[in-house]
Amino acid sequence: MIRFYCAIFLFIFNAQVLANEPDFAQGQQWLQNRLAYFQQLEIDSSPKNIILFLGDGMSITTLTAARILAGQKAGGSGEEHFLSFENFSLSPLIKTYNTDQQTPDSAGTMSAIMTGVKTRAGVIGLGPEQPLGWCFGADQWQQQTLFEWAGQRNIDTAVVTNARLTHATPAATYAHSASRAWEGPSDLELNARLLGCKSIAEQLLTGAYEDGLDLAMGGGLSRLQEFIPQWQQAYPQGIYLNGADQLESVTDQHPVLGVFANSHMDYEQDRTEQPSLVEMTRSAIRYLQQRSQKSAGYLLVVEGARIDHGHHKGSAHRALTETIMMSDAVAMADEMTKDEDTLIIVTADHSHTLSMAGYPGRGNPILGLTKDQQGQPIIAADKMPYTTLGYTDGKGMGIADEDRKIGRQDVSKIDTEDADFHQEALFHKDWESHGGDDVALHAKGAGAAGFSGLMEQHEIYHVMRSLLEQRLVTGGEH
Amino acid sequence: MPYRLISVIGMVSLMLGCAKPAVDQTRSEQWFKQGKAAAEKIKQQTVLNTQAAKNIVLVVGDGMGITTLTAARIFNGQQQGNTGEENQLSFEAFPHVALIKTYNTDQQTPDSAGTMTALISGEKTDAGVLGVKASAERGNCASMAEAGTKLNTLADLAAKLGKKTAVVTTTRVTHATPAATYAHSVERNWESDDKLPESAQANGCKDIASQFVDNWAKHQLDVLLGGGRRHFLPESAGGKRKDGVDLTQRWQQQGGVYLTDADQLAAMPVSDKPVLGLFSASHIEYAYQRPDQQPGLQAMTAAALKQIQGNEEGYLLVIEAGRIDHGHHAGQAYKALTETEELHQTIGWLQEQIDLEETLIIVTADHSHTLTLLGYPTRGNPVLGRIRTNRGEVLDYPTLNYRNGPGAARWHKHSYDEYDSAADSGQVFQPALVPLEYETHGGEDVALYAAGPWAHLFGGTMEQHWVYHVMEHAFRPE
Repeated sequence: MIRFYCAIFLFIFNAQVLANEPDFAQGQQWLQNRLAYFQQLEIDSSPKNIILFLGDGMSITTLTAARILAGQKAGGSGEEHFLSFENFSLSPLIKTYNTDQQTPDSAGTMSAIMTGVKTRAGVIGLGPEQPLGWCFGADQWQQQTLFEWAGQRNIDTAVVTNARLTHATPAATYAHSASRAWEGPSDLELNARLLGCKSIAEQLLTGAYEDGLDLAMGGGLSRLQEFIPQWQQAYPQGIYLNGADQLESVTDQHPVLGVFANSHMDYEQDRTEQPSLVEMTRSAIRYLQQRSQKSAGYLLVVEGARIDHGHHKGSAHRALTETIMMSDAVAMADEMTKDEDTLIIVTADHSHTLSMAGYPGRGNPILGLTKDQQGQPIIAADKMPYTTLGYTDGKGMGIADEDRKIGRQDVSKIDTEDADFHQEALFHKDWESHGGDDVALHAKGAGAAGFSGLMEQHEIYHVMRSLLEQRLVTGGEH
Repeated sequence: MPYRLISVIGMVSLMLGCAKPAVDQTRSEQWFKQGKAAAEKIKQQTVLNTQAAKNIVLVVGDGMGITTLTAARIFNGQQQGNTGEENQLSFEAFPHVALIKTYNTDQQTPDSAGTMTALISGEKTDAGVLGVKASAERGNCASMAEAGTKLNTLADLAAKLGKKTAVVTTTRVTHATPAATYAHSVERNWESDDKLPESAQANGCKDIASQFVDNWAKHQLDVLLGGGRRHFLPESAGGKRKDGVDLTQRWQQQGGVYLTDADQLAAMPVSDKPVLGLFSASHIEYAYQRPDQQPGLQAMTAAALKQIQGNEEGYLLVIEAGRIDHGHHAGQAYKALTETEELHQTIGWLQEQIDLEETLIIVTADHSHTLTLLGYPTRGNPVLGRIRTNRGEVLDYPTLNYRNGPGAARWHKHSYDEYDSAADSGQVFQPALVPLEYETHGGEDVALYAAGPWAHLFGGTMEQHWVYHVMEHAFRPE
């Protein structure tokens, strides 16, 4: 019997550039590509490697707006553009709620993705039985993360983020903490100190690598530095990086720790010396590929963390440019890997309150005022124009903190495309909040068909684990 | 095992039948078990149906954005006494999901005429026009005289293939979405001749109601059910028509069946005669306050199905839940959510009547709205109520809000607790920022859920007009 070694051309239609005109012929062309893709599909294949991109707070509206901005930057009208991963073959929707919160936080959501168990907001790697902020019982309700599981099976694991490495999302890949706030030793609450719960930083540098973590890159030196000497002592062969120029020096030393900022890393548009998410991702993949002879595969988590921060600050510009950068990182990962042995997943942990309103004409600048097809600003009943993008809560209108205004303000003379412009917000708050609507998951490569329909977020873990298990059993043959 | 295109009878219907098992949401173990079972279930469903679709059901929730789905799902679950977030609308159990880019060729955030034309004719076009290419100019009758400007519809194709065709809607049957299935007009507002300019009449353009009756031989819709009597009746009979023509009489004279209330609809015998049912002067009333003489979406769907399901060659059934959009435009989420709930119930009933082995069913929206679901309400917080957090705070505003619309001027008039006490009365306006007479559409992607033959072709982020090409292929795969 002929054995099919995952002969998938999972993304054959991506290679063929579609005509830009959204007419009948383009529809037919897409259909032919799509049919060809299913002709080639090995539906029950399983991946050796999984790369999970997590766009923190990357809501559906963020995707649409970022796509339009990217398309407009490339000189098009924008709407016809696709982010790199939007042509992936599968795109289920994900329900994000925490067990105790309708609109979730990043700790509970990433814990669901990494442990297969939905849990409370604010809790990392522990089940919903664990009260938030209470150390007692944390051992009992600890959930094994997919990294820990993989570490026991000789699968390499790596986490890359442009947030602090101890921040909720990256922390959920390796840590267990009753509070996401316990990032460094000085962040621990009294009960945690008394009952001996370790900070997330200590868990990363004195425990996670023991459990099989091979690479971590991101920010957060302020929380981590106390434990770095200890880590260097434990791993004399390991490599510690703290500058962008050192990324190239990563070869086969093991393990790897890269800490490039005191707190979060810079927004892409402010970045000068720190490595970009794209550069860190490239370095991580290259490193994991070099080790592929020794390992049974790899699991890489890349977080585009600052999409969320841009939104929280009320700056759509920052959120969108961060999204575009993550799209670039995904494109690069896609180029560096093969569909027949690698599954690429791109999803978000939760949504935000960004909305895209009014009836702007085609190609209207996405960060600009809503203008009609004739290019005239549309004026509301209060005789003022409005921007296409806005938030439900947050800092409100105006540029930079000192200028912010509650509610509506005439922005016809303000450059709303400025990176520091705060989109209008209905409720004035220092921080814009998360949204509770579903987020998207885009997947391609071996095993992508494991994702389907409307999914609960913790099911993502089970699909990934079941695919890796299948691969370990079959060695890719089926 | 190499992947083969095979079909398994009853597989999908089995899957749709089972709701997610109840989970004790406070227990890790239960989440883990449920997640694992869900991943296994997806594995077993990866069998693709590639036989020709005998029937296609295209369901459009007008303005049913992703936030609407999340909110309606929670609302529906809470109506049954549950926390709500864990709930699933009937069609959210379909295995195949795509995200749909909705823009019109001339508008970033689209209207229903251009979007439904894309869905039903396979080509994007301008906002405001029905069944004509983007080369025509909105409102300029002469511009559609050119050969090739009119687009064929899926209904045309279905009729050619010997299939019966039916369209049911809760709006006027001459409104943009249903009209796109049978009419060709450079202006969606030409529902009857009173809005048709003289120049358009002189150039041979006909109003939409006239097109339905007079062009029947061309579009051959077997069933059209909804509201909008006023566009078929002369002013003398309480209608809008200025030409003095009673189109309902003309319809009956040319052999059509004409129905005006729910009793007649229920009693309608199955026959080969085409049926026009107009159950209200304008739109059908919102579900929550609908009088008995007006049939609901499910009653109309059932009657239409009865007429067409006996046809040996199969059928095309188009269902529009048209008033989700109107509830949103009014700035009243309760109306939009109860209309979405009616669609959920209708599809829940419908999927028990149809054989998914031979019927492709698609549930999507034409465009989104500006509704946002804001953080951070506690789990199970009434979705129309004010935000209560895990810390016990009660905020002064509700979870659901709009970016713009009538709510901007009106929400301050509600007392705080009206969002709790009267939230489900249809009287409350959600807060909004930008004061506009009507809340606007949203520009972000909408969801598409599908099951049945060729439903697997839906996946990833898609242009809206590609949906047509899947349906055409499903009807006659080569």
